Amino acid sequence: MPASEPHPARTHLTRAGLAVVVVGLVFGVNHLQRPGEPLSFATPPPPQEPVNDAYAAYRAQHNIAPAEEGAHYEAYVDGTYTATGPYVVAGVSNEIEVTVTIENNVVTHLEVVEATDHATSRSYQVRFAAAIESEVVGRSVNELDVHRVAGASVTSKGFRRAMDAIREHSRTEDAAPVEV
Amino acid sequence: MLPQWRFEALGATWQIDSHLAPDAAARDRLLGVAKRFDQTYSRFRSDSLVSELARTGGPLRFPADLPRMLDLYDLLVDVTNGAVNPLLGHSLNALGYDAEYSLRRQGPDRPAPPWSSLIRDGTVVRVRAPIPALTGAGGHSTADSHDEFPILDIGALGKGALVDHLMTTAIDLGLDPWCVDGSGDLVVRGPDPVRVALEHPADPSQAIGIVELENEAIAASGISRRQWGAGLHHVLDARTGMPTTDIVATWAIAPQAMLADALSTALFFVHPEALAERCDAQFVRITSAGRIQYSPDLRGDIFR
Repeated sequence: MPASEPHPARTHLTRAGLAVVVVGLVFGVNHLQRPGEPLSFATPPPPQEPVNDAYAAYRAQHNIAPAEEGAHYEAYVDGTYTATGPYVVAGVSNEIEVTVTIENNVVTHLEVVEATDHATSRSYQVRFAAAIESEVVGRSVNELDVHRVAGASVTSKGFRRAMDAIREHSRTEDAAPVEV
Repeated sequence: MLPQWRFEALGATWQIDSHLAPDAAARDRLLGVAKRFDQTYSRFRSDSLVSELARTGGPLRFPADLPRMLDLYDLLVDVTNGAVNPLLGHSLNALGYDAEYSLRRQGPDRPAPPWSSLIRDGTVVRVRAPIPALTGAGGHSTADSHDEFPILDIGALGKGALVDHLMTTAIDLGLDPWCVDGSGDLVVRGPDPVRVALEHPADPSQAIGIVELENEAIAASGISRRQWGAGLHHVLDARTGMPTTDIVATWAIAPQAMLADALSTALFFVHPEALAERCDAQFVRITSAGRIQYSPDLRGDIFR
């Protein structure tokens, strides 16, 4: 599909929305972080139409109205702000560090740094950072009227044989774990 | 029912659907196309041309289909900032995805040599000076190390390229084919749209959506079904030699299977929008968080 220039009004709208949300994140992070309580973005919003606005899901969860065109935000002082957001998921502490640069009430730079190795938390953070369209919903292939299935499940015979060998090997005494 | 013909190629089952059944001569020619492709490009065969390139460094003359594949790799390397790079054969071997399918880590992660190490002149290819072999602590060569040439692995688009070859050959043979399916990567042809289910990455009996294809191809790529240890699978970031973690399954729809195949790999490393700016294609992908992303103009239905 050809790349298209964003509509000026839309760009303005998006930036204004971004400013509201991100500043909300930076200045609102302390009251969001109650020890022992996960941030609410761990719970996904209900499925909605595909959106390009990466912060729509966050807005929806926090009941932040989208910015109206022409709205003014004069409360923000130009500069670069950094805040760390500690939160707890499944009993494990995690942090994200958010750095935002604001010029003329518009966010001109945004950086989110994840500081966790905890797989589950990382998933939540990826989910947050990407603000993706919807949850995966599966339906039985047998009930679908389709001609073909496209997927990666059909692996080569050599691979399947080798996996069988490894399963067998892993039951013997000299089994060597696969290092990661 | 229209004729269907199944055969084995590249270690998987293929199927060609056509309005005319292929006779023995037609089947021989189609099998010959698949066999020659395997003999040329399989890095798992010691008698393949890419294995010879890895042993000698070339120059070697390849079949006429190589330049198109390498041109597409130019695009892939560029758009993914080097995350996709076909010189990652040693990186795959280090993780155990080798000719013996040892599926055991053979050594530390190995970044691929730069794409510019491969020098092309039409169909003649050579690889630049040997790359240093595995080194010991402190970067010094270990006693048993020896220099190696980069290994060309066209895995990101090879299967799609063969799908296109077989479709072209079947048309040449007058079979009036409507689908060539290389175990999940497929191209369709003809006046009727073909409905294709997108397989759930965690459960092959389920689908996460349906797309409609018309004279185009779809390729799927996933890591969940081809893992041989925690986090060990065949989609590597060539810059680090390490498997990717953020995306578990991708689909790309494009005019040719080779392009669809290539884009389905690129989707592990770049956002769909970055690819959409560079080529006419549609996308679906699933993140490790279980979320699904897809092109706004996707012709089909993502279940919700």
